[in-house]
Amino acid sequence: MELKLEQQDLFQALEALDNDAYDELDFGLIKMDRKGHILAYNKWEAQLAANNQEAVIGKNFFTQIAPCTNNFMVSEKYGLFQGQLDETMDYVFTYRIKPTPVRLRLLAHESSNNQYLAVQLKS
Amino acid sequence: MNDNKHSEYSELLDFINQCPVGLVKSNKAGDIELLNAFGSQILFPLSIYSSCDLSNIKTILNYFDAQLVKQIDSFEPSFGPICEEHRFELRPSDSASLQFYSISINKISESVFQYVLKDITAIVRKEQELQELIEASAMQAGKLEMSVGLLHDVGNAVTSFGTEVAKLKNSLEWRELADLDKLLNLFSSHESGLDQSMGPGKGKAVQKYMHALKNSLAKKNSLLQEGANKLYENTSHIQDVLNIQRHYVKDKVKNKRELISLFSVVEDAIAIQAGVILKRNIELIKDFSPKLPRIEGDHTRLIQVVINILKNSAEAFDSISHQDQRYIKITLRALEQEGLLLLQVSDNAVGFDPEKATELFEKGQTSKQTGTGFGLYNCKQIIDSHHGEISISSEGIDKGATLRIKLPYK
Repeated sequence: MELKLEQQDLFQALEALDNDAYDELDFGLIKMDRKGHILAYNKWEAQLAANNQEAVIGKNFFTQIAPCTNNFMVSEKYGLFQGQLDETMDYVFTYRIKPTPVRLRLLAHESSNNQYLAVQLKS
Repeated sequence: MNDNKHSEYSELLDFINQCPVGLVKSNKAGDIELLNAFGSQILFPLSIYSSCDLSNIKTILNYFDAQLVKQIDSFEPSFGPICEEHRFELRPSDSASLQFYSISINKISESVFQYVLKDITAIVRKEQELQELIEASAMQAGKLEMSVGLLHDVGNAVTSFGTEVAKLKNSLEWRELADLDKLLNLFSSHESGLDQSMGPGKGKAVQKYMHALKNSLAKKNSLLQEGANKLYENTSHIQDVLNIQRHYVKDKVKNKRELISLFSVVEDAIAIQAGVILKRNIELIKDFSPKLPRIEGDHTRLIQVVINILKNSAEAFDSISHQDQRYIKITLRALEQEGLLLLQVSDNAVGFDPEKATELFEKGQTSKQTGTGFGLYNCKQIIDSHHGEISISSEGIDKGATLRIKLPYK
């Protein structure tokens, strides 16, 4: 099964997959708990950000790994959502301090303690 | 690049990326070449609200502060700081509160510009809270100043009212009643002569009429005196209440100072205390130099001092044993070389133990049997606040006392 960043029901699809499956995705994926602690960090994201996949587990994504997302446009939306969060937006990451345009999809649902951030490079 | 170098390079990049301020490198045109994580955290929302992408920092800044971009473009030196901690703000939505940012811009070379961005929202909020506190306390101070002004003005008005009441009270000692008595005695001893010239029985009738007249006048006088005494007591009471309030605010605001005449201060105080002095059959000797310079001070509070001193002097006669003519001598003159006015009040009353002279200015100290010991203490506070000196001396019990106040007039 090949998942796309824009597809419907991405949250439910990701909930059904394991870490190995996340590494097969052709976009970046960060799986976090409700507080932003990283539960899974896929290969695609690790390569682009030049981060060690295992080293980031347990760290806070918004404050320790990607402070560029720690503002009212990204991190605060996870903190404030009600019911569910599913928002796609264009953003700029700073991979190796190079401004890098990306498309983000912010996913969370009240039924789960997991939340996801999907990242795709903008061509 | 070998592995070691690569690892160091990665570490350095990571270090810069995690730096807790936004760092941006651009060329002269403003195209962003490098941007750390905080730079993106701050700039990205700004780029959204300025409706441009995150590629040119000058385009973004132009939306928030066009003047700043002009400043960048007109910066002529080949390197150096263009601005430091320059502030600008963003309101993310109508309901959201303002976000505040600061930016410092450094020109490194003709083609390298460095921007340092900070989110200072928390700091600005603190500053605003502090500003509100300052304004609130300024308002408080304003209210206090107003009450002090009010106390001062009402105090002055009550003092001059009190002076008039005291004058009125003193003017009600009608000596004419005694003269009328003498006249009555004269008529009584010449009753037969009156009968001869005016007709039989008329001498008695005139005396009766005069007697009734005298009684009626005496009654009116006594009513007036009673009224004046009540007025005097009530005025004193109002002054006491005002004094308590004044002491309450005394240290909070600097007292209002104006140019005043110490001569009129002393005359007013004498008028108020005249009753206390006359009642004790004390001769008041005034030795005032003419044309004394004015001093800067608080008229009402200085009157309080002189009233207090005169009262002390007068009451000091209550426990004397000698029969000499009682006197209080008030001297007022300028000590020109020192630039001081001297007010000296000396008496031949009971005096005090010379060793206790300095103690008398301490709170709660008194040489009087019924004193509270606050009088001289308060006098000293008031004189101190006028940058003056106050001292008191006596050669011993029953040898009188001399009080000296020196106040600067320059």
